[in-house]
Amino acid sequence: MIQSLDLWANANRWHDRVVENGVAAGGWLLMAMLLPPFPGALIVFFIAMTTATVGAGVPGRVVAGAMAVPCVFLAVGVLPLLWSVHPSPDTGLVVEFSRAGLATAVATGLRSLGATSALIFLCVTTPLSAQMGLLRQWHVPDFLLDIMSLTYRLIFLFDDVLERRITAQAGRLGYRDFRTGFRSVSLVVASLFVHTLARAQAMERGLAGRGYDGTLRVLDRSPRQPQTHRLVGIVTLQGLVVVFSLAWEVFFRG
Amino acid sequence: MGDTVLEVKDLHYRYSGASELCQRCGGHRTGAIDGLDLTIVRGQRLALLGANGAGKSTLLQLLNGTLRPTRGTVLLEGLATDHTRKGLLRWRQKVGLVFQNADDQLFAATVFQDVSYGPLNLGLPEVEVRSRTEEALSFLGIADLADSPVHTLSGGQRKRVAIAGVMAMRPEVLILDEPTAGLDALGTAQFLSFLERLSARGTTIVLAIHDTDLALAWADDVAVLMHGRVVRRGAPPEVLSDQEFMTGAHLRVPLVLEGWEWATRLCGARTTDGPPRTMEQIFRLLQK
Repeated sequence: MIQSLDLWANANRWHDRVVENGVAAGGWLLMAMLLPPFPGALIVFFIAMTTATVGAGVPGRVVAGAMAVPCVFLAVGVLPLLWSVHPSPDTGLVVEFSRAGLATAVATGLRSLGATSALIFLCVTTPLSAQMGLLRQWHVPDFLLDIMSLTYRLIFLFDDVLERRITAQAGRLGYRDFRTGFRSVSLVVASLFVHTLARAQAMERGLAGRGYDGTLRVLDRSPRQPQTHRLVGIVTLQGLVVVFSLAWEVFFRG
Repeated sequence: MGDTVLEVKDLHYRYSGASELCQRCGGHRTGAIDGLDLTIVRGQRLALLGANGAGKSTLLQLLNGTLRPTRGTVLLEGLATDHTRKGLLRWRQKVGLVFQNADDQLFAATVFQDVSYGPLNLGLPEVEVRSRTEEALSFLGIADLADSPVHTLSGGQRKRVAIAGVMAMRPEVLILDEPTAGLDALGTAQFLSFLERLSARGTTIVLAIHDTDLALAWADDVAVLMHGRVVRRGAPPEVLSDQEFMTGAHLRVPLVLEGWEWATRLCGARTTDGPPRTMEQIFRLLQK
């Protein structure tokens, strides 16, 4: 999944429109958090998903796959809000469905969905390297960018190692039943720990040869300048959603 | 003979804990350096040959200050090197090392960022760093990959990026550890063409390799390592054609020299310029 997300982030139609994507995602994130969840956050969700798929051209299954995992966490987090627990003289405690809890759960769920969709939009349309370049321009501290950069690189290195090791184990019947599978996974995890240390040492040696002194200074390619008409379009669309959501709140819920 | 750019005198290096382990496994010190002497002349194309564990990779890391010797000295342009911050900066500016596994070097998100890392560490202005980065990428034919994430590249492309990252620092000596390992025939040919162009610019190049055919075709000089020492040094045809010595060093006589041996025996082929270095030269001589 992570490989596919990264490939599309680099291959979609809007991959070099870093500022525009950042403004869109940032605006939607704020709107999802601050506007009334219905319809504000719901509209944000639909716009973010539509623009990612139709506008940027990222396949729907990739976007859906990226949304699936946070949505599972979201569902698990929202479910307890539907129930309330009261003390009872007969049985000690009573667990019952809560109408007030339902309203809170829907509001929380919609806000989270809108906010998550804004972030997923950014993930699938903008390469992380470009996002880091933008953050560097905004003077985000170097050590944070170093951590981001190394994490990004190492995720793919370990993903590659993990895949090869699991394939090698599977070829030797390491996953023929639950017991052997469990043992194989524990062996892979243990070996990855050692591999991580060895890899970190090797990388430090490699960087030392190029003058590593504790900081990872890099230069970004000159970013593409944002197009004013696009930025105006994005902000106008966001303004319309804000006005519509607030009007809905005033006229229909009064 | 030109002037000496790097000189190694009585160099020793031992991996921590290796001695104890070696005593248990028969006294063979894998990868250690044991009283090694070596001279590298400016503009030279030197191939370091040796079996696995002969100490080639360790020596390369000692040559650019990545490892600190337990004893002995490395002289850079006649001056003793030191591992102070200033000393290492000067050393690594002059001597660049490309590791066998490109992933040991590549850490940044994109190719352009990674190649810019070394020049930035030299304290150069941004315009100069940008120019050097673009030049290195063009020289290696990977300018179109500048914005690509490193993990999406093939093994050969990663190797080129790793070389570009060192080349952008414009070292006078470029050291490459097993650069053709994992490359296909086309990749190897492209790599050799890159070495030719780099050599034509006056860069001193040191390769640590197993491939004796490559050493014969490419190098001006070969040094054979065994158990952490240089046991033989000389012109490639002379050293590599010594069957007895090569067997003792766990190396193979180049196929080209074996082929030439058969050609002289069967067809009476002769040459006045020494044995051929490539198959193409053999065919030309046989045509004559």
